[in-house]
Amino acid sequence: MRPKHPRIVTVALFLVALPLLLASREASAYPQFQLSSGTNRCGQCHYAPAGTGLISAWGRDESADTISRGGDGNFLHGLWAPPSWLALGGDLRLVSLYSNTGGPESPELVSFPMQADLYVRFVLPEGVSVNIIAGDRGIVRPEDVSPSGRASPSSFADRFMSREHYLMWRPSATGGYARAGRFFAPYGLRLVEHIFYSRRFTGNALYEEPYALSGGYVADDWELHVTGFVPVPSSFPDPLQSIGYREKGGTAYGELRFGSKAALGLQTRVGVGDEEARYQGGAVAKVWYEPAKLLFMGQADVVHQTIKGTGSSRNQFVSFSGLTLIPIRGLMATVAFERYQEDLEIANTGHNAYDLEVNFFPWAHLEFLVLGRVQQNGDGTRATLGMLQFHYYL
Amino acid sequence: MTFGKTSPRGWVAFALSVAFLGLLGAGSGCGGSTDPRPATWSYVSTAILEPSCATANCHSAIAVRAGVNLSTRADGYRSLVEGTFVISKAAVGTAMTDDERVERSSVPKLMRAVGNLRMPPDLPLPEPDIALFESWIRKGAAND
Repeated sequence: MRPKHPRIVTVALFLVALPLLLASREASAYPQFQLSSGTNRCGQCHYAPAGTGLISAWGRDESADTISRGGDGNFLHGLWAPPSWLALGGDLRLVSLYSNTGGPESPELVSFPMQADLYVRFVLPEGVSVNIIAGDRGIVRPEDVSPSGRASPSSFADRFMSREHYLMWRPSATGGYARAGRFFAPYGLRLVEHIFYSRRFTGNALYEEPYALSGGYVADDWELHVTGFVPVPSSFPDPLQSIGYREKGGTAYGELRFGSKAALGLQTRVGVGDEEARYQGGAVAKVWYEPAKLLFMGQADVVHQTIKGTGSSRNQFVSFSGLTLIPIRGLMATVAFERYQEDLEIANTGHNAYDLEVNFFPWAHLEFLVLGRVQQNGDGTRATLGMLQFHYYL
Repeated sequence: MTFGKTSPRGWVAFALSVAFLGLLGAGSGCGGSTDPRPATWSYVSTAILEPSCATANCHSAIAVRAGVNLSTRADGYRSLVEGTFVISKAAVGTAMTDDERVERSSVPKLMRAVGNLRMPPDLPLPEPDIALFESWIRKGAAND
């Protein structure tokens, strides 16, 4: 059912969201929409050639006409259109978490702004653009009161972070492209949930974006992305800093699509840091079964890691396997199984996770999400997570 | 459109993909009962603490929650041992036994949620990792 005064609702929501946009963390992509929405390429709905980040005019149309129950997916719900040389967007995510990992201080109940990012894209001549994502670093747990702690700085200036900023040449939605700057190399399913093992342990954790030079080719039924990357220099200021092993290396991701029903991707990544090196490879698969409105989605990677100065190495396995049901427009339910085996040679070092996620898009720009996650180690230790999330995108 | 109208290529893709998905859970570790990993700071820091603890909101260099930075071997050792979260043999000499140093070090308790919130709170460490960490403490908690 449509609100009687959608523009008033829109303006009210924007006014509520604006202060928070100036205050928190990460957006990525919804790989569930590839194939299931009738759009086969991630780069069709996003300006970035392999998806993630600011959505394109096509993506905005889809967000209202295909993804949500209705509304206007354009910037500010169509109240104002940016000039042709400018594209704007934003993501605001407010969450409440329930976390139980055992121990006397569990369960935890916390609410916080998880993400408040603005997206800006300046369009230059000849298919060139400058793309920036900047916003407030989200603070998950209670205030850090330690003298040297920096987990919860009080000022916005100290929390400000730009996890993506790059120059891109992409003259058309299909064909060749190149980009240079800070961004994640295309790899894996590119799930929005950064807590999932397939992101966290493959070099794609929250704020792990490196500086990179990437090029590739996107066709209707295949695409290839090749990227070289270096870590963020330690001399860079805090708003540009990253986390992780600080590796330099390269990735390659290739995807073959079979009509609007299936996609199969192969990927490899080499990352060499001061303390370790990782050599990994894997595959991605998606199958959309239209009659049942079901999407199978999976990723599996094998990682060989050498630990410098120890003479030791280990082999790891990381996977995600999900089944998404989209029974009606605007509603999506996913069950997933994740596996992270820290060391295939050592018994009881595996982690399993069982996920249930329900996404509801009642109106363009709005999303309500419920996530339940149970992690269980090989030794029986268990952790339970529940999350309620409100998501508004400009 | 239904699969009944799809091309042979589509069927092949479907079959390959489903087979692939079916294999996703097959990566279960089947290692032996002994732990051959080195109980050294270089290994423990790089293989266990950094990927599990040095995350965006916790003990990374950008967060340094509770003043603890576990993002590199050097920073981690400084945070844990010089910060007395781990009691090294060099710090106490013969005043404590190896087992007492393990007992008095707070990190293993945090990892097992004994008297505290579990660390890391979003990814409980498997017992073999905690045992390896304790073994490093027992051997002196040296910075190799």
